[in-house]
Amino acid sequence: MQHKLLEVTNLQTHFKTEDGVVPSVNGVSFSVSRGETLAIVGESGCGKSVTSLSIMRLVASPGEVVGGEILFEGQDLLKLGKKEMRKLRGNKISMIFQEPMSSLNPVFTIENQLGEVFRIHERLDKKQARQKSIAMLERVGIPNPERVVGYFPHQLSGGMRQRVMIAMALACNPALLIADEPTTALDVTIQAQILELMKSLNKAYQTGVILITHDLGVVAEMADRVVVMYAGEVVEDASVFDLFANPQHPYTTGLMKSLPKMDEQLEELDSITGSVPNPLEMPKGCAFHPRCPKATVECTQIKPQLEEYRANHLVRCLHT
Amino acid sequence: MALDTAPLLEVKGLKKYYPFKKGMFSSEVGYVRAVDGLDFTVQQGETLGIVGESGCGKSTVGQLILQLLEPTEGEIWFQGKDVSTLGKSELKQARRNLQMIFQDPYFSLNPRMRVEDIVGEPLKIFERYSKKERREKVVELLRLVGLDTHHLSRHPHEFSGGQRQRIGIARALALNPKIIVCDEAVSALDVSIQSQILNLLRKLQNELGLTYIFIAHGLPAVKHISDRIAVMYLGRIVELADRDTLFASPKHPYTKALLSAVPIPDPLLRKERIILQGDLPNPAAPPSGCHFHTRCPYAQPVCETKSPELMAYGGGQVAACHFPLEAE
Amino acid sequence: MTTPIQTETAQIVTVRKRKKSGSLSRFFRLLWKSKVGTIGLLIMAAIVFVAVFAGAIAPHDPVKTNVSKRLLPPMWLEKGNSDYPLGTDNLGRDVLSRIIYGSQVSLIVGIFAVMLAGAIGGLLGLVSGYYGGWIDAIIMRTVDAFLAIPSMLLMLIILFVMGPSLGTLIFTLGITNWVKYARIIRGEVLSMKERDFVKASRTVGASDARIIFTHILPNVTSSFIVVSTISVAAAIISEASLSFLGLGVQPPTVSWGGMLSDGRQYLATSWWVATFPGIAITITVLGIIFLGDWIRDVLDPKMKAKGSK
Repeated sequence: MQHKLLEVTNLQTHFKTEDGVVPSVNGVSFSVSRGETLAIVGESGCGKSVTSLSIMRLVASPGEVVGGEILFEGQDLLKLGKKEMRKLRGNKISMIFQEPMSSLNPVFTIENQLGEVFRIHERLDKKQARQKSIAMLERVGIPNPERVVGYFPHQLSGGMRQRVMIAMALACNPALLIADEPTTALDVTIQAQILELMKSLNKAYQTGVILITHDLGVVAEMADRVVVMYAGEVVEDASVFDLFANPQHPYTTGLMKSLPKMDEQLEELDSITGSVPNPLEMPKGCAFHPRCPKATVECTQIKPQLEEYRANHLVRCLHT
Repeated sequence: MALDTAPLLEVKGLKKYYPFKKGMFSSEVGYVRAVDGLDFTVQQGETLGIVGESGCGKSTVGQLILQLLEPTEGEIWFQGKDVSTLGKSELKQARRNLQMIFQDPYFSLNPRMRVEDIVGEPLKIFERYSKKERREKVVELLRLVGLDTHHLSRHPHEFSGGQRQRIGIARALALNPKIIVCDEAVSALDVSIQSQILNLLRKLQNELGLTYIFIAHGLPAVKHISDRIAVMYLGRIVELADRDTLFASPKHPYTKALLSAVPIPDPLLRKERIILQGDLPNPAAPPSGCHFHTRCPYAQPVCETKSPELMAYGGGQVAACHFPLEAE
Repeated sequence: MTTPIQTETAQIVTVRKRKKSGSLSRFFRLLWKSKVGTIGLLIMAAIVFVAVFAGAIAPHDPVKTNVSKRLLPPMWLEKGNSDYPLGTDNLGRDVLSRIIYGSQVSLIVGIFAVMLAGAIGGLLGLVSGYYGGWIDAIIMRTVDAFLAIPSMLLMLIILFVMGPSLGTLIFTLGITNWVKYARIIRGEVLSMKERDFVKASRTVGASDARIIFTHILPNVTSSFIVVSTISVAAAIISEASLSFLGLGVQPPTVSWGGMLSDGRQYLATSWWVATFPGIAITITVLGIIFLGDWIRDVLDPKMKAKGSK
């Protein structure tokens, strides 16, 4: 294979607000291979969702992709026309969102919405679209698909709606699936079902997956590679085993240590002090230095670059 | 933990039913059994965790204890009185000792009020402080939760999520309460902030001798902070035990599945999970017998017809299952 | 290593630096930022000034007729007279002076009618939303009944029975407009009541009155103001319509609606008699709406922070 499935290089997405420019995504690079699951982790406001919207070219005003390159199968998505991009969306690249209720239109049946994908992208007639919809629902583990296909979204539970969303996203066998916090709104036992489903589908169809989440547990469960984001930048990029065994960036280690553990009992949790900086007033030097236990004088002055710590493991820190 | 002393709070047969009409023109009434007969106690100084998935009634329990909702049936004994039968002025006094921390720090603070007024509100209602005394007390409370004098004249939107949660905690502490109900108090917060707040809650408990009822769906947080944990499913407690027992040898299959479903942040521990089949049943029409039988891998015919009672298994562990799991 | 408290304090200090200015300067900065607000405020200030000092500003007595000078065109037209900048009407009265005096009626009717409607509707909406149950049912069914009757018909009946005067006009407009307030305030209260901060206040033993007045009321003011500005504008237009129909304020009191009515017959030949009061109504209504939008923003504490950055 010549190209990776997706290569994002130096992506920059800015939001122009009244009070100044917010660099939500500030020079982000990563890549996804076929069949690989890449997790992007970070806390709210770190730019992980904006990154995914940028790939889909769905960033809404006042946001704008102002720089970088997004190569999908060798083709720069940022250079595509609106029409070509629309053809790609839902067909070769698709997306599932956190809240399955608001991503389904309440006034149409599942058949209407799922069938629409087939009618648009595969030009099937109504009957064929219905058949395919039923087959798709069955594939994502919905019991009684012939009946469910006629339901309205409110007649389904949260987990079932998320399954429908996954069915819609996978309808055209996309090469890339972007899942933005797909299980955050679900209960734990339902989350386990959906994660299992995503894993089996990923295996069966060799879909590349970008999984956006704040939950390190989900990352450990699902990902092959992990990108950790902080304040609009990638601070660490490694394989999942390497990252958990050998976290290098103080933010990554901080996140891991601050989690309450299921298998041991601590009196006090380590926590990262302070909170995420105001995006309009990013600290000079390393963006993480005000919260970093290892910070030195250099950190307040020099902006660290994302550098190779060892093969396949990149870190943005002066002290690795 | 001294179990022989009288409990600080005792809940007996607590029920909350919401009536609804079946069909538009029908006069037949059904009930959503949000809370369907709970019994538990809370000891002075401990943290009782309550976990469960959506619709299990855990938040309703918190609101019932605080009398934000009126119970359909049952008793809530606190300081020798059943708080659900108190009159208006007695209830007001009881509320000094029963406080709450809410889930969403964005909605639990009045956006139009300044921090001084938010934290000072309980003092205004209960104490006859002068303005200066009240301010001093508010500053003291803010310091206690890690905030500062500068914050007094701010509005909530000027704070980050974690700081807002601290303000909510300061308000809950204002009247020196005995019990604080934490309703999903850290669920809406980012990971790094969540640990700050959990540490703060632990610190306050040690310093002030507080008793917590910690309601949450996130098992790791509940495990971290609780001494004992109650697991709820569709309005009932299916298991209650001290933390270590519950995690080491759960008796109820639902507890076990719930524990197993939590993704562990370690890729080396990827494991075969117990994946429960099917959805949470509709709380308005729960399954017959044991509510869990529709999803239970061990269900037998008797589970469909007979509702299991809570049975004691020693060491304070109770579980409601016809076929309890053996210790591994 | 710093403690969380120290870092947070450090952040606060930096935020504070930006926030070091009085409320008055904030007021003007916000005003300046909002061009629409500035325009609205200027228009309304001008109109209030004109209404208050009508006697000193108006070049002529608004009711004095002068048959020899009837239907003079505005001064910039042929045969215009600079003594009568906007021309005269069919009885030779100065149009400009009449517009100046007419502003008094418009403002009085607009403001008092809305105060009456807002007081009735706001109170009933609060009570209805907060207490619910049968109180709510009674109030909301009354609202439905009011909505089912065409308001113009209702106004005409009341005015017919009570006889037209400034007082009845205000009363009529108040009585027909309160339902809007009741519905909107009730809806807002219903959503506020479920907010956690209201629950929090209840857990610290706050009384109903305290919850309503310190927690709910301040949070429904922005809706109240939006409704009010639209209502003031609507009341001014209603007054004009009723005066146009001859049921509003009666001559010799000057009103813009009455002027429109007078000028109607002369539209083809002397357009200025009806056009200028029409323009006055339009400008006033626009001014109120602009100003209202801006006041709503200023009252929002989130906007305060934005303005101070």
